Order: sequence, then structure tokens, then C-alpha cells
Amino acid sequence: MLHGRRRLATPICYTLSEGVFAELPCQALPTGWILKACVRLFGIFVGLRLKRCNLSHKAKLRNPKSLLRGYWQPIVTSTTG
Amino acid sequence: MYGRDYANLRFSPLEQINRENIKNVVPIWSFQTGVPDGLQATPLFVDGVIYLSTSWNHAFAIDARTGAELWHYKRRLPEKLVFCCGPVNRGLAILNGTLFMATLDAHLVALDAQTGRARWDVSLGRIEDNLSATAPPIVVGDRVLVGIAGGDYASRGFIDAYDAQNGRRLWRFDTIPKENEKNVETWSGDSYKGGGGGTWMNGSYDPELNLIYWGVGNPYPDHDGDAREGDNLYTDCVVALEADTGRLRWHYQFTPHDVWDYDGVNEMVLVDLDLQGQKTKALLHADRNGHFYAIDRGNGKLIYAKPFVRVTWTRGFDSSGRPLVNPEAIPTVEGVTVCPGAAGGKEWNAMAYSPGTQMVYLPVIENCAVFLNNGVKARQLNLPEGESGFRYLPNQAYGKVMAIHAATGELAWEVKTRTPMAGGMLATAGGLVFAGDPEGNFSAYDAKDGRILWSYQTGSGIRAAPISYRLDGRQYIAILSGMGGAVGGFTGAGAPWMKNYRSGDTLYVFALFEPGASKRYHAGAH
Repeated sequence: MLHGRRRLATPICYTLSEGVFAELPCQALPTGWILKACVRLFGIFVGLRLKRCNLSHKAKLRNPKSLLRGYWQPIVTSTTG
Repeated sequence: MYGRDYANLRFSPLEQINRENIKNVVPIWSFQTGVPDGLQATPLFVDGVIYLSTSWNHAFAIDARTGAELWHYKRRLPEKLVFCCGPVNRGLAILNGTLFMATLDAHLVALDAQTGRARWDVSLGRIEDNLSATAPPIVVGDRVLVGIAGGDYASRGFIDAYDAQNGRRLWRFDTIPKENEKNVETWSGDSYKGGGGGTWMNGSYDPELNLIYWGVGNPYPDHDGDAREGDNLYTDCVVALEADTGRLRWHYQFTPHDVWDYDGVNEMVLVDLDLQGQKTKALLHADRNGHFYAIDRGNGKLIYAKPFVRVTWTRGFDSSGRPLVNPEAIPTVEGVTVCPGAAGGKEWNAMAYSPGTQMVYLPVIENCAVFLNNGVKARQLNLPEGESGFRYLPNQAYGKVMAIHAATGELAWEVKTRTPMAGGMLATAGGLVFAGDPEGNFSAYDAKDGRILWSYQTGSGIRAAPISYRLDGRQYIAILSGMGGAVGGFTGAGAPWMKNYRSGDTLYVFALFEPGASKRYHAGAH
């Protein structure tokens, strides 16, 4: 089953059920789980980015400056030897 | 000799090429080694032959008249190697027709200078103990002295002396005390067992005092100081050793309890200073920690220490010469910005001293970095452990060629460079200072005021130091051009325009232009 939303001034949603489009009130659509899934996917994406940058510590999250400061720079562990 | 003399002055008394005629200097010949991954060695010139080493422990002998290869040695290295910062080699030593090279698999090899064949080969230590060797050895009397790399891993550093004839080990100085030895208490718990302290550059030697001066690298783990509380002797020190026995006479620690990977291995330049009318046998040293030091090389007392780049990790020095560490510069889980960054103020690339100007010429790196400790500190905060280290701040690094008055440590002049300077220097009696930069420019500066008098684009970044030699009455300047090794610190994040640098593998030789002379350099001519 596909769900979608038209870009109309007055939102009217539609659903594809048994091969036929049908308009129905938006609030009747089961959009909650879609929203939840999107939020979760976004969270996983951000989490992976943070993990990659070794910025997953809570302390760092409390300090947004540290995120901005080094977010795109990898951690270097040594210079020369 | 590496650095030209025991004092490591890197000063050539040749003056045929000088301020007035430098504009007429042209490339005479070049030699391509065919070996990638960085050229960091200072070549040796002996009896008409240039000897040099490259990454992966190749060594070459080259006819200095023509640039023709005389022989090529290639070290057969094991597959498993442990090295932190590129497969580089920083040069050879020579004594009575024998060359000496330290190798990536932690060996010291003696090569016949005529043929390039190995005469003897001894192990310095085990790869399994995280050891490797990249440093140029030095020869003192009939002994070969060499340091070890591996301080960025759990290892134990040392300085060794070997019999030049047969490779027999004569003495070893452990840079980290063993159990029950003096100063082992400067390490908490059993952290001394793998505390690093590599010795990955060459030392200097004072024949009058019969003392060797050698810089010791960083403690391990590099940035997690809580795992190794204490001063962590003798890391980040200069150690003065008796040349005959390797016994420690004195030490001075540039960065006690280093948590920024500043090392302490940069060269020790031995100069006699005139201090208020009194001659003082001094040791000059520009440390990665951003201070320029003059130390009495007889007793290790600090004469002066002055910052030559932006420094935030310390708030000066106490009366004993110990730095007063800024507590706000200690790495945290959030990260703290500290200057200089781990690459600067000056890397291992050698400075030069001119007795004529009594100035020291430095290749300088201005940068800061964000240092993080995600080890013990994270555990204490009930946070997951992660990698400790540092991040470069983008677009803020730059370089300088700097001249400092040796007697006072005061700035004489400086020339800013777009990219951090990461090649060594040469001063000459012709009133010139030569230096290369990571963008490939090989330049001559007026030793008095820093004016750029001449420059040549070598096609790849320069990490090596130049030499000058005279052959058949003509003065030559030689430099290796080939970017590689650990360069991120100077280029990648701090100077991102260098991120996609081109590797190179070439020795360039320069001399004054002489009409019709080029045919003399034809190796096949009869």
C-alpha cells in the first residue's frame, strides 16, 4: 500500500488500495509510523556520523562548539617518528 | 657528515655562490630515484660521490659530476612492519668507506661505499615490540650511534652505539628507566614498560666534553596523560651521554608529561655563545613545543627559552627552567585548542647556524590543533572510550622562514610562507640561506634580512635539507624533492590546498651558469 500527500492548499490525502486511488481525510492516514521511521533513520544517520568522528560522548553533545570545531576533521594520533 | 659537522651547524664555508651571483644559479643535473613515498634525507657528498637514502630503505651512490648512478641498494623488508608516519629514511652516515643506514625493520646495516653491498647487519630490536628505525646514524670515533622509532606505540626507546667495524653493540642508553632504576618513579604504575621515548633523529657531539646530545621523543600513549602520570622521564628531553659508555651526565626536559605529542627529538645545534663577555658552550634547540632554547651544554642549565610561534600550553618557566604548564591546555574529552598543534612550531627538519651572522635559521610551522583525551578521562566520566589525538583546525596553518639571534633568542627577521615549512635549512658563507617548502619551491634567502634572492620550482614538495659541496673548483647546491611520509600535520587539514600533493623522487643539483659547461655533465661522453 502506498501513501502520499498532495501539495494542495487544503490537504487532501490519497491512498492506493487494491489498485485504485481514493481520496480520504488526511487524519485517517497511518502517517505516524512513517514519521517515526524517518526520525529513527535520521537518528541512525547522525549517530553514524558522530561515531565516525568519535564525537559520540555525551559530554561533547553537551558542548556544541566541540561538534562544530572538529566535526569534519579526522582524529590524528601521531605526527612523525 | 650528516649536518656537516658534529655540532650540526649545517653551515657551508663555500662562498662561490653568493648574494650577488645567486641569480645566475641554474639546475645542472637531476637524478630520479624511482622510489615514491617521500624523500627526507640529507645527502652525503664524499670524494666526488653523492650518497643518499630514500623511503623503503633504498640507498644510492651517484657520480656528483654527471648524476650517473654508481650503485643502488634495496633493503629486502619483511611484509609486517610497524611504523607510524611513512616508510621514510632520513639519511646515512659514513666512515672509512662504509655507509650506515637504519632500517624500517629496526636494523642497522653497513654498506660498502664502493659497491653498495652489505658488510654487516645487526638487529636493533624486534618489530613485535613496535620498533622501527628512520633516523640517520652518526659516527663518533669508531662507533656508530643510532636511535630508534616507535614512540607512538607501546615501545621502549633507546640510543645505541655499535662498533663500526663489525656491528658489535658497545652500549645502550634506555630512554625510559627500567624497574628500580632512577627516575622510574616519574611513571605511574607500570606505564614505563611501554612508555615510548623514541629517538628518531640524530644527535650531536662535543669532542672536548666527549658528550653526545640526543633528543628523546614523546611518551606513549601520546595524548592520554592520565594513563602515565608523572614527568615521564626521559621523554621530551635532551640527554647528554658520555660518548664512551652511554652513561647519562645530565638531562633537560622540554615538555614534562607531554600530552600534545611535541616530542623532543629536534636537532641540537652546538654553538659557543658570547654571553655578557663570557664564552659559554651552549646547545641551541627549537622544539616542537614552540620554544627556542639555549642550554649550557656542560651542565644542562637553561640559559633562555623563548617562544618563536604562538604558544598556549605554557605560561612561562620557573627559576629552575621548568615550564609552567597551562592547566587549560590539557586534552579533554570535549577537546581543547592548543598552540602549537602537534606538528609545530618546528618539525624535525633541521635548522642551520651561520657563524658569520651568528643567527639561527629555522623552518617554522604556525598552527594550533584541538587535542582530545578519550582514554582514562572518558572512563572517569563514565563515557565510552575512544581514540585520543588531535584535529587540525582548517585553513589556519602557515609557515615562516625565521632568523633568530643565537645569543639572545630574539627574532632577527622572518618571511611568511603560505604553507608550513617542512624542509631543512642550509646557511653558507656566501651570505645565503637555502630552504625548500612543501609546495616545491627551493629558495635562497639573504642571510642578513631574509630577502628572497632566488627560487626554483622542483615539481614536488620538499621535506629534505640541502647541502653544498665543491668539486673541481665549482660550488654546487643539492636538494632532494619528493613529498611524502607524514605530511598531514603540515598540509592536509591545516593547509588543505596541499591535500592532493604530488609525490616526487628527485635529487636536484644546482651551480652557477657557465656557457658551454653542460656537455661536461653528459654521463656518456668520452
